[in-house]
Amino acid sequence: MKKFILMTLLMLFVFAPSAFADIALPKPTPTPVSKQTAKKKGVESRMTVRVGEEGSDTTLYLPRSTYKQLRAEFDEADESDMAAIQTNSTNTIIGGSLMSLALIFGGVWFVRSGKFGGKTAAGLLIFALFGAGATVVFANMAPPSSRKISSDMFSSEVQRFGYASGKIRIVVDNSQEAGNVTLVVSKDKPVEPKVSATPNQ
Amino acid sequence: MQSVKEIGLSSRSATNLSPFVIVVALFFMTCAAFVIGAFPLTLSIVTIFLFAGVHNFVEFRYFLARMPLRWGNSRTYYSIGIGGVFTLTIIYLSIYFASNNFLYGATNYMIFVGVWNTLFLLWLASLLWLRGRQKPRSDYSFAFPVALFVASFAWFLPQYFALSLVYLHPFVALYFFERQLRRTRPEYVKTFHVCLATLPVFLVILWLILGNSPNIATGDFLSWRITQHAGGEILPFVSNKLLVATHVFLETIHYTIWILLMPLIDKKAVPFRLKNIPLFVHKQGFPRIITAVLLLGIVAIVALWFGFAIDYATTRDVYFALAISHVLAEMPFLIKML
Repeated sequence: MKKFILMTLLMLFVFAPSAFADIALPKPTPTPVSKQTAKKKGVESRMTVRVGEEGSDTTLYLPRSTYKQLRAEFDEADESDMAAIQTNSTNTIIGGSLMSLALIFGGVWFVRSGKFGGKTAAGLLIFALFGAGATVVFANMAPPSSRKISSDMFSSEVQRFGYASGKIRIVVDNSQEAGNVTLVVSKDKPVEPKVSATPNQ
Repeated sequence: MQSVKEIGLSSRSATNLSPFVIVVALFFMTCAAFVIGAFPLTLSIVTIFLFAGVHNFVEFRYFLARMPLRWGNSRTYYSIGIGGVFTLTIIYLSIYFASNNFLYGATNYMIFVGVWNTLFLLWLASLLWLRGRQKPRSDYSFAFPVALFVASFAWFLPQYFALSLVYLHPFVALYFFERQLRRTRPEYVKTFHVCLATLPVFLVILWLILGNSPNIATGDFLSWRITQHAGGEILPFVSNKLLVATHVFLETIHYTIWILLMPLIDKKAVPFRLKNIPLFVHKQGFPRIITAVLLLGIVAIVALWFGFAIDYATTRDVYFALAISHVLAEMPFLIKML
């Protein structure tokens, strides 16, 4: 019994660090934004910018679900609704621990049931260890590179693709009843030109 | 010497289909799907008004008939079962009615809900494990890792877990009905399976017809509450008219089984046949308590109708909060039937 408890705790400590994979990387120094913009919660979404047909109007298509979320914010939706939808880090840690315990107890039941051979059990154990290790690796992996919406899209090297897509934030600008829809793109750090290695003669 | 009729009854099997029953069932489900699909909000209000309290009473009456006078070897099982029902109900109601308390910020509320979900699943696993110990050559201890696994998702995706319970609950009645059919009317089991197989067809047809329908306007509190209950805010990309129609359709099936079909196939479930209740008829039973409880149930049904008539939205909210007890009470009897 003591061995069982000890093994359970050991396995828990082995798998628990993967829960920390959910903790975000340290944020860089925030760029200055207007106070009004900073107070807005906004709605996270994705945006694609593509080149339309010649002579067509520039149009911002807003999905119904995004519009409903924006309308809810405009109508001062209850903050608890948004918090209820988003899982916080406490939920992730407890959920991860419960999943680890499920794997542990499932493994114990599996072995004690004796219905499956030792090779099968060993194979599953190795698979589980690889899977646990993979969560640590993938959890900190950077998002795949994509045609992000930034100042780069205005360079000739990008324009030939005809489109760009990435994460954006849609905000209801309460300071303006009407006016232009504004898309503010993030500015990347300029790439330093490579210096030629040819020595001066 | 056995009569022909007795021989016929004793040799009845589950292999014969009853076309009449299938036609009646299909006709009923078609009418229900059509009317509910056309007027989901209205039918939601009407079905809950008319049948919610009645179905709770019939369910309670059914469980009463199945409760033995002496628990014997099932003492631990029933203790944990009934104790769990009371404990979880009290915790649930505390979370529900005290959610405006200063202790319940949005984050704390989610943690309390997560704890309740975990306790609920572990309670189910305990009942399954105990049931497995009662049956020879059965080991249901796998229930614990499964419960922990499901509980992890209850923490990762709490809203979706809660919504899944809303939609899975109507299917519990189908399981009870099937098990009862096997005991009292086994000749209709195959017919029931055929009718059950048509249920996904009706759901798919509903989804195809209502999938692109515009949302129900939720300008008033009641409409918002009904659509929110069906998952309108959790699944904003799905037409809330479809969600409400699906939920009401499944609940209608649920109510039909409990109110109409269960008493038809099991005489013990007929509400006013008290002689079929062991706790009532046994010389060491509690006839006065049983009578009082059943009368209280009838009073509660009438009170619910009055409440709905006076303030439907508030009564609906209170009813669904209290109704968690009946959802929990189904579990020990459901697992006992395994």
